[in-house]
Amino acid sequence: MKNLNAASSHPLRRWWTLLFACLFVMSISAQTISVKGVVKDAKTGETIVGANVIVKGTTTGTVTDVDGNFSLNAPSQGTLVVKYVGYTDAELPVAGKTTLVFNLKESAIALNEVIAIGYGQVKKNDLTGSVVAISADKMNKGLATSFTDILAGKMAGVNITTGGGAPGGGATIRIRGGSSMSASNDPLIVIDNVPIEGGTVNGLANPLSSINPQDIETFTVLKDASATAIYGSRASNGVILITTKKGSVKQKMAITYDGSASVSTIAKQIDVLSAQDYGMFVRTYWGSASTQAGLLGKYNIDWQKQIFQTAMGHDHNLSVSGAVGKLPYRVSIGYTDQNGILKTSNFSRTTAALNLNPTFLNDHLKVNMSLKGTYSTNRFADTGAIGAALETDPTQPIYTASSTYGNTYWMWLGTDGKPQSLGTANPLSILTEKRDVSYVYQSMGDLQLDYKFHGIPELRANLNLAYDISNSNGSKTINANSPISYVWGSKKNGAGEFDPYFQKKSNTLLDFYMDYAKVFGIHSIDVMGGYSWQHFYNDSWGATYYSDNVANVPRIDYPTAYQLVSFFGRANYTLKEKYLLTVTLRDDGTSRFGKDNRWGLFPSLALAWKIKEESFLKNVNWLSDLKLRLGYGVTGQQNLNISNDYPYIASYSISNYNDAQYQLGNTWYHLLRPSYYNTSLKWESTKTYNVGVDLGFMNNRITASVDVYKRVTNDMINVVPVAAGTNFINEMVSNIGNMENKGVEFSVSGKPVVSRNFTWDLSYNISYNKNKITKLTNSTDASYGVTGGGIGGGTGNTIYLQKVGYPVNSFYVQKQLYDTQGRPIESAYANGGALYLDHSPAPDFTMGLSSRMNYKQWYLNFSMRSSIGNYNYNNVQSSKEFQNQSFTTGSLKNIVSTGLVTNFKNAQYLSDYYIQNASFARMDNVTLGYNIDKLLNTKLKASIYGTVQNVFVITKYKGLDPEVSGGIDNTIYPRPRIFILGLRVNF
Amino acid sequence: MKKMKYITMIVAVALAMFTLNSCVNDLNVTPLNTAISTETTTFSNTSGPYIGYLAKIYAGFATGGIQGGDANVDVVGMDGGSQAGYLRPLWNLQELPTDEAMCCWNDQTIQNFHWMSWTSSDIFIKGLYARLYYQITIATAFLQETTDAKLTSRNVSSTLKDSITTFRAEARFLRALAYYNVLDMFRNGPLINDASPIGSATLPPYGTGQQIFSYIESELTDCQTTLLAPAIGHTNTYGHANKAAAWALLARLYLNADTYLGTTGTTKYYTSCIDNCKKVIAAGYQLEPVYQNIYVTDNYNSKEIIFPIETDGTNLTSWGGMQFLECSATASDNSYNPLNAPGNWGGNRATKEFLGRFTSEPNYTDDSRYSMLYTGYNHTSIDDQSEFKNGVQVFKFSNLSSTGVKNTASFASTDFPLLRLGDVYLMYAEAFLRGGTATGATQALALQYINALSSRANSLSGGNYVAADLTLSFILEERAREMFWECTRRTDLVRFGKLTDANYVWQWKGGVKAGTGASSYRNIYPIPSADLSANSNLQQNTGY
Repeated sequence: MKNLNAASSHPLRRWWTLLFACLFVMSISAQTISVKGVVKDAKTGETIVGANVIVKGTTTGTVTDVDGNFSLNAPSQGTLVVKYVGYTDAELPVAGKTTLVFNLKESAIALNEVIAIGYGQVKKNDLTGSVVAISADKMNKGLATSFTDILAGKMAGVNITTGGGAPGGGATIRIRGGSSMSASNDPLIVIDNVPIEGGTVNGLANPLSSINPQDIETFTVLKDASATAIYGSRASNGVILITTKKGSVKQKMAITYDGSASVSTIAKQIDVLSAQDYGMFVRTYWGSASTQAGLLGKYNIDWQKQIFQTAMGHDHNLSVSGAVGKLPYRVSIGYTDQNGILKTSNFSRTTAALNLNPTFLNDHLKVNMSLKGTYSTNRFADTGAIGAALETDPTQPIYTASSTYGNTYWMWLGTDGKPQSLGTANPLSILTEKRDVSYVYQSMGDLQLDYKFHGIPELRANLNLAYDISNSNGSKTINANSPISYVWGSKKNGAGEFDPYFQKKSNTLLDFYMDYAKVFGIHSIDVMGGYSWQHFYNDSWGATYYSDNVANVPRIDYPTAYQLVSFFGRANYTLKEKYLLTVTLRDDGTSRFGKDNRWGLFPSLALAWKIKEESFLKNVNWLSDLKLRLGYGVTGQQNLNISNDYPYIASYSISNYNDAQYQLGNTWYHLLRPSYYNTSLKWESTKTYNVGVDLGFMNNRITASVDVYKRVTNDMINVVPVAAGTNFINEMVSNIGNMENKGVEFSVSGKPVVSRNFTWDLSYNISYNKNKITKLTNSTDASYGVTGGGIGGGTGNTIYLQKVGYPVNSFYVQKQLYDTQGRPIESAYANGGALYLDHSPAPDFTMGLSSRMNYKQWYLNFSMRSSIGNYNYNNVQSSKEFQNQSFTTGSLKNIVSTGLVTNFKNAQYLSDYYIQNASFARMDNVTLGYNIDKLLNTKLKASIYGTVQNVFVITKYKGLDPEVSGGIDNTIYPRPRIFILGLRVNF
Repeated sequence: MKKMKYITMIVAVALAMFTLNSCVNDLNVTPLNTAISTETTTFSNTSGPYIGYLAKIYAGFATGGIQGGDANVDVVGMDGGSQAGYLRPLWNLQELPTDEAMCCWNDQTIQNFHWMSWTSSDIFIKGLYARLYYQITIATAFLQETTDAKLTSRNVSSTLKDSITTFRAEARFLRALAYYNVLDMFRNGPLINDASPIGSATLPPYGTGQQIFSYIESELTDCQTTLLAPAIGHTNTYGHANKAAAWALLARLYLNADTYLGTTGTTKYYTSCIDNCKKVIAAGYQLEPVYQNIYVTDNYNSKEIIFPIETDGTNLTSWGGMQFLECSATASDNSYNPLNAPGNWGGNRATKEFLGRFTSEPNYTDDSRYSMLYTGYNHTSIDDQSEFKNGVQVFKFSNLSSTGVKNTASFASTDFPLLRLGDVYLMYAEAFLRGGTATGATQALALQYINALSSRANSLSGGNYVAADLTLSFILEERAREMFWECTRRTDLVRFGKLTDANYVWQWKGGVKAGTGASSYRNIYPIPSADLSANSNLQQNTGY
């Protein structure tokens, strides 16, 4: 166009140009010309690599290059079509132009995204239950030995608390609060269609660490009963569906390497008295001429520094995915080796995974096969070393050359020169003289056959066969003559100890269902019916051998097994694509209960109304999505959390222990004990009511979701007192309580800034949950409560009370009285020291915030989490600050610095002074990265990033870390601050 | 096409039927672990399971579970060693509320016992109650499992049947012993018997003191006919309960009958008490010549002990039995440990008023029982309740043998003498003074027994009491001197009306340093609130 304008200044030139133009046009329509151009993203303006540019109606085509440019020959009157995944196809007529610019618009993926639900898939748009899905790229980057690390804070209503900072350490996942008191509160985890058993594996702190997070494709969390009821008897605490990455036929072979190196440092130490301050304290408190002062040493040791270290770790993953002919595959291997900040702790894991997804019979038979194998080794460092480090006298040395006891480590000796059995064990020796190691092999495999019937394309049959096995062994060795051998355990005589253990678990599954889906005009239906069979087997043994006891210790095996058999069905009905109805029903049978209580029926009903599709909203452009969801369902719980798979069978066990026999006459006899049993034990059932609204604005640039729910658990399984004289125990698992959880969840996600060079994604979620026990025993005695929650210090002290009208695990304490300056008065309590219920460890509100920013090649992401209204019992303070603790067992002990402020002489374990507000806001990670498009002038794409994990915590809590699962803070393994440098290369 | 459709339908249905039909029966399972067996696989016609079951009932008085060190406990929801056994909770509840003992630890509510301020939710009370009823329940289950009908159906031989008859009598004795503790401590409680359905949801009925008393009386009277003959010293029936144990327990029951039944001066019970004491004495038991040797590691040889609770440093270990009694009595700095206690926990010592029980005795400085009390820390007044060295230390239970040989195991090895001749002599004398009129019972005989005890304790200058010295208040003092720390003090004080008396005080009684009285409802313990909530047939004791 520009050329013509320039030429029009001269009349003659104008005529000649027009003639040429006409000729040109005429020639074009009859010829193919070379067309060049560029394909860009309509919003960001970024060029798109690898887009398909095709001449419409032909097979002529090309692909855009690294700069988004293309060049091909096309008929001058033809049309070019550009296609790319995630965008709607764009067409432009060639019309004689030699250069074309395509601006592709993102297709509304968010709504057409397919989400996995139990035994099937559904479009996100068509969901009727409360379901949240998160894909791999949205997850937290950084050091993740388990997927629990990368999920924290990402989803409303899903709370993940790690057990501490130990490498490979476990985590507690709670969806919408727990629904049980003593039965398991863990959600059901389904990995590639295999519901895993979920119990502990001896020797592995976190059984979920067998899945390499790098292999995970999506997480879907099913929160309300209308979504989870299809899993029936195990779904009361929610369901997490995990799928792993697969190859695809359309994909070229892609090789990816992900690696990182990390440095972990201790973020914070507990403040104890220094050697100088401690010496001064002992001389002032006990007297400068006292025996206590005489025990002081001359050294100056920071014991916490002695046991902690800066730890290194590294992690490598390599995956290859693509297709061999028509067989798509993905193979990956990974290796992680991580040391912990507590000396000697280590976790290492090697994983291998294979996914094959061929299709046969012209896509009628889809086969998904996945195999995973893991080998993990652990060396566990005893966290007792931390408690000991807080208590050990800082004026004493670490080593000693002068004693026959302790294997060169200094330890407390009595006046007779013999080991003082009630002194503290040397903290460093706890780590080095004890070796607690485990070796775990795990493997999981799944074969799924999905057959679409020839001739009846609406009918599908699906068969799923899976296994999940683990084989672990390990041992704990304590060296003879070590400080621990004199101070810990039941012998305390210097004998070494060797405790080997072994466990074998296997879980096998067979699932079969048939699905019929058809559209009749404005009606569409989808009916599914199926059957499931799952068997769980567990065999373990362990023994204890002492170096001074040559008596024969028998190997005692404990094999046990249980079985689940179920029938399930679901019907989905949609009217005019606006009104949706889902009904599910599951009938579960378990071998754990007696014949009369064996089967449980779990129905659910959900309704959804896509309000956006209604005519009155169809033209409201700023509102891109509005859906109302109503759900009701009943789920069950049969994971009793007791180590007994046969609680209803009357049985006897003969004890093989040689140190508990009775002598009658001249013979020692082993003891035969009848076991307690409960024939009327049955399922827990939870009813959930859920109302939700999903919203989208500005073409889903902002999406939001609100859910209001109520969950009522009946026949709650709980350990409660049994009437004396009726059974062989005083407290037994029975169905004897009701509990209720009510809450609101809100989550919003959007892109505040979308421009050429800079995009910003932000998402925030907040949830509120209130838990209350509504019934506890058959009696209506209002003052009745069940104690629990053991604490350290004294013997048998407990801090929880379960009582009707209060949240689960409420603290049961005495009300401390204070003086005019706000200092607590020792032993002075309100109401004569009567105990009352004060707060609970569960938070009122939890929030999560994540942000992702992209600026050209750079990216900066961070994620934060907050918990408000949770309280902890600071057991570290209550057991280590009272001043008489400094000399309670004939040896000196250090006290924490707060001891000089609180000024208690004796322990006041039950004071509410120790119930402290542990609300916190934590920045979990910050990542800064750079994408390289052409690494070393090749086609390689790479990304380098640096991450800091556990960046900071804002809290008023006086203890080390406010985040303690269960709320009893008694020296957890501290969470380290981790600095990571990572590299990802795509070949 | 239609044919194809039909075929696929049929195949689909067939596939479905095939998979559905299998495996629903898999839900009927039996335990895989060979160490766990059901009733039919456990009991047959061999003696092993029966004697193992009986051994468990005995062991329930000695340790907390079926593994050493109170692991694998029977009673749950509390600490295995300190709260879920028999001897330690019994000792705590019988000794701490008296002048004989005070604990300096801060384990939960342990101080409430000496202060007389316990509540119905107390965990130590709950633990003992649970243990007693555990013993009652398994003894009853044993009896239900060994009925003549069941034994015949298992083709048990007649010789084995005869042995089992004795086992049954022993189980009844052990159950009566547990009920006796219930009666003595709680007075009322659930009452189950051989007809009670165990394992069902049927709630046991409420038994009043009168009903429990009658039940114990009938059980002991009945089972003594088939119990083994009394065994003196170490014999091949060691550990078994025998006739003498039943007689001694009946004597205890009758001596306290007025207290238990709420009556006064019921002569027939004192007469029955004397009758049973006579039977024990006639069986041939003898006082141990040296008092300390009742409590040594080889006291299984003692001719004075009628029924022991066994302890062994290798084969029967517990933190709650003799281990506790020996270790809690020595200071944690091991500054004075004359009896080789295997640990130094620094917990229990006596009040200074306990010294007064001896100082009123003539020639008490020669009394070997008095020499077990230690005042070497020179601080007999308990000014600081949490300081072990304030008070009077007691060194009674020994970890040495009668010849001074040390026990090298890390756990105690001394049996606890639950019933012994010394106690029987005292019961005879007291029952006589209270009006018992058994044939051949005279004041001279009562005096003879008292002097025997006195000269055994004090070989130099003891054994010189005359008839005028023989009064009830003397008996109370002599019982303190003879039976201290053997779990009878509270019972004795209640019988004499002194436990809650404001005029018979010791330091820190009632929570006040000089000592004060308490309400009379504290003469019995409350039924634990846990059982009240679980069993609506029960009523709480008055005052709680």
